Amino acid sequence: MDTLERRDFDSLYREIGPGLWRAIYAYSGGRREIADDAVAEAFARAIEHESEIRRFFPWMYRVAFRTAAAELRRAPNDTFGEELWEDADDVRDVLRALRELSPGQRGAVFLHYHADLPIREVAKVMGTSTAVVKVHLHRGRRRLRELLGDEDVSDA
Amino acid sequence: MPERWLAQLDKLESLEPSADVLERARQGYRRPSPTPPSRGRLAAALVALLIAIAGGSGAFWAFRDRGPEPTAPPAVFHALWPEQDLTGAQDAQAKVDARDPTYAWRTDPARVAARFSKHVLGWARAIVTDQTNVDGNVVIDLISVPGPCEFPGCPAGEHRVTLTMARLLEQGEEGIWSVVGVDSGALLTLPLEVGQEITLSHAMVTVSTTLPEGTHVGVGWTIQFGCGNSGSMGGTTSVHQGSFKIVVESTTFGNGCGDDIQPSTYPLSGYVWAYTSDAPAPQNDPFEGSLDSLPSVGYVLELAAVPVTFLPVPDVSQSPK
Repeated sequence: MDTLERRDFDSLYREIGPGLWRAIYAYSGGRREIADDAVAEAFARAIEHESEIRRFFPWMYRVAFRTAAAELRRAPNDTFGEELWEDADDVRDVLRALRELSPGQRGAVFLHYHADLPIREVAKVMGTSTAVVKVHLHRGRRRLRELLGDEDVSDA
Repeated sequence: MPERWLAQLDKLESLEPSADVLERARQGYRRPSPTPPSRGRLAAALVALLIAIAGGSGAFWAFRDRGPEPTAPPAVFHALWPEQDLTGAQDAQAKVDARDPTYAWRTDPARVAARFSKHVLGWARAIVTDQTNVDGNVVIDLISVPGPCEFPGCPAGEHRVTLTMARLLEQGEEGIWSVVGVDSGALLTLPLEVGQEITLSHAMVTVSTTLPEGTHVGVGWTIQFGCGNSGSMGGTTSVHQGSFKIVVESTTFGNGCGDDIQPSTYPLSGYVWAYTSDAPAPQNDPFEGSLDSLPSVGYVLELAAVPVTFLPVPDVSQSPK
């Protein structure tokens, strides 16, 4: 992924676009428009700065997360509502649970537990410190335990 | 992480981006730029802060005069209790450093939590059910013990809060602990990060909650003006369809320190709060009490609060036409 020749952005998009989009979608609490915009802007910037980017994966995640964070600061939760339940029924429960977490907790939980990124990488792509990521994970786990059940209380 | 939780997250794999995302990227997509904050019109304005509480009532605005004349622009300091400003915390740390025995409790997070439960929550007895160290911070779960208390008609049930504490000044064993976050789990948690920037211009916080429909919630925000004064704006709202809203907005505003208002005063520290209590219409800042008294807002049932950074309202007159 880091040695892609320049540059077949169709292939790059197929390779990392959907995963990046889902990470932002989770981070934003299921706000499709923020995920679409953040991924579009990350790829637009990548196309523009292609020659300057050494490692596309972390670079694009950082740009997309920064873009989404700015959008969330502008309108933290004000479009959370029934219109956001337009996505498939089977993700409704997980979206409902994710929305009970803060954006930082959502991003950290998704990237670490779903995308299998080590904490250091999560910190890099979210533009924060490993200490903050660990706090997000701790509190996110606690919250999910309350929301989704308590069959495992370990802090893995 | 339990497999069942992972399976829930796996369901997101069924979702795809909108079909035009890459095409928009090829066309050089950029989000519209937010209006840049301008501090030009802040200089001579007097405080005129408003809070609009969806479905709420009884908004109030209250100043607290805590100290001397203004000296320098305040440092942004993100703490909830016992001190909410850097100067106050430095004073407390100095007392600890001088071995003042009346401040010894500040170096023990469990004792800070115990005092918090009495003076902020009004709980006569509380138990620490969990204490976790997370990279230098301490997360403490408190549960109230039902029984006689100092409020008439104390609720009989158990209540829980989670405190996040940090050493914001000295990091060693002599460093004082400050409460930097409070939530009541699934019942009440604010979707804000510590230090999150909130522009005082119709900033809306939607709080999802499992509190029962119609529950009265005291909501509001408090700003530290950096001259020893702080101001709170709050009111009562109700849970409607699993959520309630806090809207922070202003028309013009200054720093609450009189006419000596400088644009460089901003950003300012403060915090956003929401709570329920035994009072029928909670609306005052739950942190406004002192260490010598019981909370003025009554017996607190659930509480959530996050220290934030307030930014000035954008100057729309400077926006591009």
